[in-house]
Amino acid sequence: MHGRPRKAPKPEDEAAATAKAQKLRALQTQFFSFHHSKIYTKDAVELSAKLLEINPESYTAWNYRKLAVEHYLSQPDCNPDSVKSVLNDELGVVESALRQNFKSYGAWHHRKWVLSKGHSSIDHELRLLDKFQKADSRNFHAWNYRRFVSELMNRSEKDELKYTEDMIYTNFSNYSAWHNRSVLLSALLEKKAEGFLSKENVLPEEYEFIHQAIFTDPDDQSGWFYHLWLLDQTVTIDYPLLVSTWPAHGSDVFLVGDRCQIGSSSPFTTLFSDSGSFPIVLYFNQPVEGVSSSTVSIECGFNKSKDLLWEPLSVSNSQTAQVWVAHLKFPTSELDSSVEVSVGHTKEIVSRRGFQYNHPSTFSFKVHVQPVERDSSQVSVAENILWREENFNVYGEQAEESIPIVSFDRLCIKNGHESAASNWRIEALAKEIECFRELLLLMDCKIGKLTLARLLTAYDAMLFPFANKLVHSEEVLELYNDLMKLDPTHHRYYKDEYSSVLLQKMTSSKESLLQHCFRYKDSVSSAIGNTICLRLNNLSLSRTRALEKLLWVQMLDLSHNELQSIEGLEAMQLLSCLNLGNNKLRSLTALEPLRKLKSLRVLDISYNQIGDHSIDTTRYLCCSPLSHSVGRELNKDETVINDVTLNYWEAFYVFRDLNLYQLDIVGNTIADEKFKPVLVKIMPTLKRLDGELLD
Amino acid sequence: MDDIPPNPPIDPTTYDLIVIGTGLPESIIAAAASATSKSVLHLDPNPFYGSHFCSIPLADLPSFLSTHSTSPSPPRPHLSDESNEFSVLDYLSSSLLLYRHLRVSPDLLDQNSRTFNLDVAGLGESLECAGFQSSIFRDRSLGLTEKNQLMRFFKLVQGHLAGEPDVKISDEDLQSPFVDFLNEWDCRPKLNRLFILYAIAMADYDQEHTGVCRDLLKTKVGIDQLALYKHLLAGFKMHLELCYILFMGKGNYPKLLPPCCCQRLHLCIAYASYCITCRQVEDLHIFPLKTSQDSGCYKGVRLASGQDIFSQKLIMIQPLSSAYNSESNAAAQNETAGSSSTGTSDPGEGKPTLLWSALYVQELTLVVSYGYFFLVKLIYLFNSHANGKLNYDDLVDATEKLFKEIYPEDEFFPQTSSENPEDDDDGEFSRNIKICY
Repeated sequence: MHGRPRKAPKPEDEAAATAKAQKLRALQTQFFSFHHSKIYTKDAVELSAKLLEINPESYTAWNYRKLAVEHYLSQPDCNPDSVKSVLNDELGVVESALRQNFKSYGAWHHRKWVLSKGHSSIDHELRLLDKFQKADSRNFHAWNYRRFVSELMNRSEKDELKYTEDMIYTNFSNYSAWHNRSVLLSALLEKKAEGFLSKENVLPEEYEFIHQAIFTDPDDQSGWFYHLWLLDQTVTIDYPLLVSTWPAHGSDVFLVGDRCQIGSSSPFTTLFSDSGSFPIVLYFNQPVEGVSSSTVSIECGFNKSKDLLWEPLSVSNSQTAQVWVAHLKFPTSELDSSVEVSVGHTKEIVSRRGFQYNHPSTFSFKVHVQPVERDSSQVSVAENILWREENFNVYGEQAEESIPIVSFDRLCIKNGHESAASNWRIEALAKEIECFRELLLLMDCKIGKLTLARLLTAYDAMLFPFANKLVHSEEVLELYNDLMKLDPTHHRYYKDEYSSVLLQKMTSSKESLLQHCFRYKDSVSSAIGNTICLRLNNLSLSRTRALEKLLWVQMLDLSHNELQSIEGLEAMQLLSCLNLGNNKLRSLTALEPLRKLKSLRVLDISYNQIGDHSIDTTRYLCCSPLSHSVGRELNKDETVINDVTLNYWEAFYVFRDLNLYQLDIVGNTIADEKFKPVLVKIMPTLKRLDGELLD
Repeated sequence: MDDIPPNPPIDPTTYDLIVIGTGLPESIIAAAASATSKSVLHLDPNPFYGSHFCSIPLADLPSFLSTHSTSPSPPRPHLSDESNEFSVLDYLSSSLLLYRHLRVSPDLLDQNSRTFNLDVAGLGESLECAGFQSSIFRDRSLGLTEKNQLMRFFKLVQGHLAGEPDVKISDEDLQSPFVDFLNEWDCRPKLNRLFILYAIAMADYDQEHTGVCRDLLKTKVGIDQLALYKHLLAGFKMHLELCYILFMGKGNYPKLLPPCCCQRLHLCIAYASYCITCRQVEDLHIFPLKTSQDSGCYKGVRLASGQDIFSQKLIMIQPLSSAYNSESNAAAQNETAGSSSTGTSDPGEGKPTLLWSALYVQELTLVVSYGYFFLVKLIYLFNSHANGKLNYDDLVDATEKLFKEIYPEDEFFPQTSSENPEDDDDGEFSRNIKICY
């Protein structure tokens, strides 16, 4: 049934096929004439049966039969017995069609249609299915139909679960059986059926079961799929949680107006803003919807307007996002005041899968406003930010600054119930880790390594609130390194995972983070002020993940990596200077997350591959005039000339909302002489382009 | 067993073929006949499946031997009224004296009864990957590591046999002792090495003490042993599947399969163990019916219940007791004495020790009735007397030959259905066959 090689047809086969086609064509012509003139006589219906027996894929014929049945049932002389016999005839036709082609969608659908009429014996269906599933135990049509039938006859999920077990015992290389098992278990767990009250009781047994398959034949993929599902069930916490915020709980925020001197305030928490407002960022563990002024309340002395506008930071323009932002106006009357933000005291924050946010949490911080001292002489010339090595000094550990990540720990929602509930998860993961280490001792196995890496990552993440350290990150990195060598086909995936783990590792502790913190020059009077630059350059990162601990960063150096995408960067609302030079960005649409960074002033995207590739693979993900999502905005903007919107709509789309002072785009194919004027036109605020001062 | 309700009468009472006994050849013939649209009734007078191919726990050995050596004198049905038409033969007392010379030491049984299974006709594992894979998967007595390693070893052998260049076992290795090869291959868990050596390659004697070992198995021979199963399977798979469905026809078979029995000796699911585990305790005695007019012709069978079932043809396969080899019996008993102490001294280790290997040469008498008395002599269980290894080498051929003689015009398992699995309708033969035990 599976894995049969394709053979070239023999001449006699071809002759037979031609003959069959001729016969079929004749039948079809006749059939269509019946169909069009709505003739449902016995002969006509029989003709359609004949047609379907030869070609079960003829959808029109199936539909015709449905019409014929309806026609018959609407006759006045129709009685229950005859209804039954008509429907049984239909089942017979389906059966012979399935004999011809087991995988005919039309035939299976027709059968469902007949069954839903409710006049046929369902027991017979189960017997039939047994036969089909014996012939091909993993055919998903049969399994789909089985789910339909068992629902129709209210067969208990436990019985069906037992059935999957039997099928797996016969031959465990059966994707469909494992899949059905996961479906059934999910249903049982959701219902909290007897014996399936919690994952805690069910999953360990399932792990035990799947180990038998995986160890017996690690080359068989079906078991691994199920294992991945189990792992997901173990790791995923259904309820949304708030994992990070800016400002962090208990922090002091120093707000400074447009370019001004400040005193001894902390460089980590001093924010420059020329818009007169500052952002509040909520970072959840999964995408949620329903964040609004009614679900998040803010208590503060200075802002009386309660209706703060919460904006989802998602690229897809949906109302579901993992990160949400609102902008709070600077206090005008008081210089120091405290702000308290309460999240989720009403139950309207809901995850994508419908779970409510049910850990109401509150965080508070103090706001200190530095008096604005405007100095007109400094405004005219914007300083050129040069990302040169000599411009950065190690920040060092001289200052015992309150790095936001440290203070963030205070937000950790310590909930007795939750931690008790996750004990079994930790135990299960520890067991799995042990198990797969054993497997790797026995044999070299790529999927085993990948699984171990996933397990260790999940285990570390789960233990982090207690251990405050990612214990296994070195080992995980090594595993991914290994995998990149062993399995070049999936190099990019491993690379992404590697980057993610590396970033997690670097952001996990104050010490490791401080190693990457630098002071830009020693100037405190620059356009960016007295800011710390986080330098994550030269790390061969391919993805930007694990950003929840970096919300405070205003100056970020990601140059000399292997970034192809900057997904997730939109969460870093405070970013004002960003260096993405010398990466592998392939298109302007890949820069879409930047659109959400309203404070971004300095951007370096030099020496990427923008324009190298004629095919932009991220374009279809991007909201474009082609997808009609930004068309309206374009029309409004009368000042933009037509050829700009036509030829450089991506540039227009990405850059028009940014207030950049400085842009470096040299070293990209797209950045030719024609392009630069376009950029200047799109961004009137631009002062420097590729180092040159603009008029 | 008195409280068991009597079997319901069998309906219908006339068949094309009645097969008595559920040993391998009987099952194959029943399946083959059914595949050619014959109606078949399959009967077994024993309370277990498998007849002379069964696998029984050691503790059941005495009772097994005694049922086959002395007639348990079943209640003879009343025979008076139909004597004109046909006479009734006493099936049991005439031929079942096969094991009468065997004696079993009770001590031995007591010590080992929980740890060993006895395969009356030797092991008949399949080395086919999917089947083997599930057997290993199912076996809860094996550790994860052991499962992994066993499976890999079989893949290696399979690759070697299939001639895949990257898994070829070198000639040098083939000439080395099998036990060394296994060691070198890094059979980490010792237990696995023992399985492969003793349970699957069926080596005799202690292979790990080369000094004392009387029969050191070379790798080539070991691999060939495995290959033999593989080879058998190639011509055999279809039949095994048929038998499988035949036995398990009700669709609930997986739960009947055991966690491969006791002491892991019985690692692979032997055909016979399918049989034994499907046991239903029913008391069914069978008496062949013979017409009185035509002395050579069997008409059918009479069941213990008194019901007569008729058929055109009847198959009974009986080992002949006359050819029993008493010499090897003596050897077997020596073996028993010698090794039983090993078994007791080191029970925790679980090292399989050859307790005894009984070699008996036996002939099979076939009683087939289709108009005249037909007798075929089959020598099975041995492909070569010289090395005395148990296997089923000739069995299928002999069975096929027999089938041809009964139904010369029919094909022995027509190939069409296996070539075109889409059309394979397994209901076809199960429809034509009726099984009663």
